[in-house]
Amino acid sequence: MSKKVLIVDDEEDIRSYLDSLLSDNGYETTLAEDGEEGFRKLADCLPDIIILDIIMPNQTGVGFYRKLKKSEAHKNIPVIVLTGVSSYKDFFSRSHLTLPKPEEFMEKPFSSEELLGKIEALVT
Amino acid sequence: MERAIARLVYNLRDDDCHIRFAAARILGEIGRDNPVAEDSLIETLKDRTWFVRLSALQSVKDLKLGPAVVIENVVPLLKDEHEDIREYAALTIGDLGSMAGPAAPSLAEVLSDPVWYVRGTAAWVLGQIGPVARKLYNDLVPCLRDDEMEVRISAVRALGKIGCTGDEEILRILEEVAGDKDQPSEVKEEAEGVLKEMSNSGEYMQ
Repeated sequence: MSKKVLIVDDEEDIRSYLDSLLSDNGYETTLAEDGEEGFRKLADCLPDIIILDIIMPNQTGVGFYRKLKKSEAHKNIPVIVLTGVSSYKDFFSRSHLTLPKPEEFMEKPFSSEELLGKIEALVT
Repeated sequence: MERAIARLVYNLRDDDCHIRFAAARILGEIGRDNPVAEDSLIETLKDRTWFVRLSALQSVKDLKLGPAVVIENVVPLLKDEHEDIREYAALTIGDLGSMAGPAAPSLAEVLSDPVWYVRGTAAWVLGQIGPVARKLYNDLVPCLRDDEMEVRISAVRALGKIGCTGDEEILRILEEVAGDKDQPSEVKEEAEGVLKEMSNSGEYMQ
């Protein structure tokens, strides 16, 4: 059975690229353009992994991630944070909150091979 | 480099928010010790677009400006309309450690922020300021009953950081938390751990 990936990114080009990349590699994808939509779609798609952008309108990746990790039903879903700015890691990598850190960070532009490798490692 | 910085400073006034966002970020990487870059980034903290303000804030943090400059210009962002900026402003102030003392009262106001992780981060940052923020311990007490456990844990940790070995008032508060059957076990265990550290330390906790 195909593994499911929820892609949460406000940039249509990125969503479309990831959709094609992952579909071509056997994954089932669900797309959301911000954190609010992503959270609404979580229950329906029950993803094996989430690819998450940070800077998005409405609910950002930071808010989405905190909400996800507080959710008993979804807190164990691994997350790859895609960001254009490395210092966004500060939101997650400090010890100021006891929530677990995201499984992976990747900076844009990213290598598709590297992304596929990280996804593969996290869903199997 | 001067020419590149001048161009980026010019781009901070571009109509396209994405250009401003990128310019602010790059200036944080190459603008250290350049007064024009620093002043322009500080001005960009008031940009009309939230993620441009966040970008400028991150760059201001990276430039490691003096405590007085950071406090003067970052404290107002603790009241920004966007929660990510409020949280990042608190983290930026926290980087100053004990030198952030003058910002402590403003941080204490953020303890009642509507967003739980902003409250939790503000509590943690007060702890980073350390004993200089001790006079604000009463502001942390309501956080011990916050709806979110994370905020309670941050408050417990902060009380441990701003207190000292013989600080009877803070010890009493933490002992109450540790023995409170209504507190989640995680909060009680955190309080017990902090109390143990305080009793083992002969100095202020760092």
